[in-house]
Amino acid sequence: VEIRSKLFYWTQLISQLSYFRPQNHRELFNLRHAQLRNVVERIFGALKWRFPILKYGSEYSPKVQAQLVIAYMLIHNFIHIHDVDDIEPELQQFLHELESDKDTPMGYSNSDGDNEDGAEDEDEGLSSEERENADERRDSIAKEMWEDYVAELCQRGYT
Amino acid sequence: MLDAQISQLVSLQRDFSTVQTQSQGMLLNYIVKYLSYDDRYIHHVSDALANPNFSDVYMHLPSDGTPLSKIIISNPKFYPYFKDAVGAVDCTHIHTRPSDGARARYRDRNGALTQNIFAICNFLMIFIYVLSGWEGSASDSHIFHFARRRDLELPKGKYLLADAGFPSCDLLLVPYRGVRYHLKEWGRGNQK
Repeated sequence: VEIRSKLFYWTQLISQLSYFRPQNHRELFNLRHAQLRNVVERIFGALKWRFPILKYGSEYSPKVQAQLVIAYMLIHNFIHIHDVDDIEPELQQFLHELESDKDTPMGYSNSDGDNEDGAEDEDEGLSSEERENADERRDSIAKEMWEDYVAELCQRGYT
Repeated sequence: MLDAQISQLVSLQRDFSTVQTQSQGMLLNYIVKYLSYDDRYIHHVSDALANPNFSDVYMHLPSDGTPLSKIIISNPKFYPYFKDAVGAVDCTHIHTRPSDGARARYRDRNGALTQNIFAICNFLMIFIYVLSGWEGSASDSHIFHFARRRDLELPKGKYLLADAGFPSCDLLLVPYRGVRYHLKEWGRGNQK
């Protein structure tokens, strides 16, 4: 019992370390953005789980394959819309594992080369005005979020 | 027999009654099986599903009247901040076997022969847009620009969540670059 309560004490302490909490509006924004955006990774995972042909490839020509992907997505939607309970236990399990896999050590986004296709040099007609507006929109969302977060931290008694 | 079943599926369209749900589920399982195991019908099935009577009903972008997502409204972490987000966008690679002449274009960053599939889903795990057929060497942002020029449109003021591989623009809300990730908001022991 003694050890247990000590353990409890330490986990409580560690969990309250502010280091692991977002330190500014950018970190908080990225965190929540990633949580919400996660749905698209889950849906791709579910699709490939349901139709393993997408994972392992097939002999069909690229054109037929491209059509098939759409067909699979439509079937996915159809099942999902009409049968809410369709999420089979195995699929649930799979999605759960997908989530927990992501609990990798803390790092910095975009430093691992993931998803960096050079979005910078591919503007393709995007005006700098549009980009600035989009960045401003992001800043205002992030700051609003941060203000509320700080207020809630105070309320909960964190410092 | 399968053709008849598919035309039945296509004719379902909007007025899908609950009475039919069970038998439709069985029909779908059947079709899914055929898609996976039987080559001979695969074209029929994909053609049948591509019929706009079916595809436009089961996969479409939001319109002006589309209500805000419950997933967002019901979660104070997301609402009201992301109230105008209507979905999330990403690309995924699937293995493919192109003809010899086209191989170079299909080779992705990892050296595999793939196609790059661009898709958007809403927060209820429903696909709302897809663009398939791009070669594996095409970048995510390039495909996005193509889709935008072609037919990707959202109601005014709405946007999609995308990762940092996509450009920051009207239609997309992307994360800040070079920011710490895998943080926890309150710590495990304090989740309420």
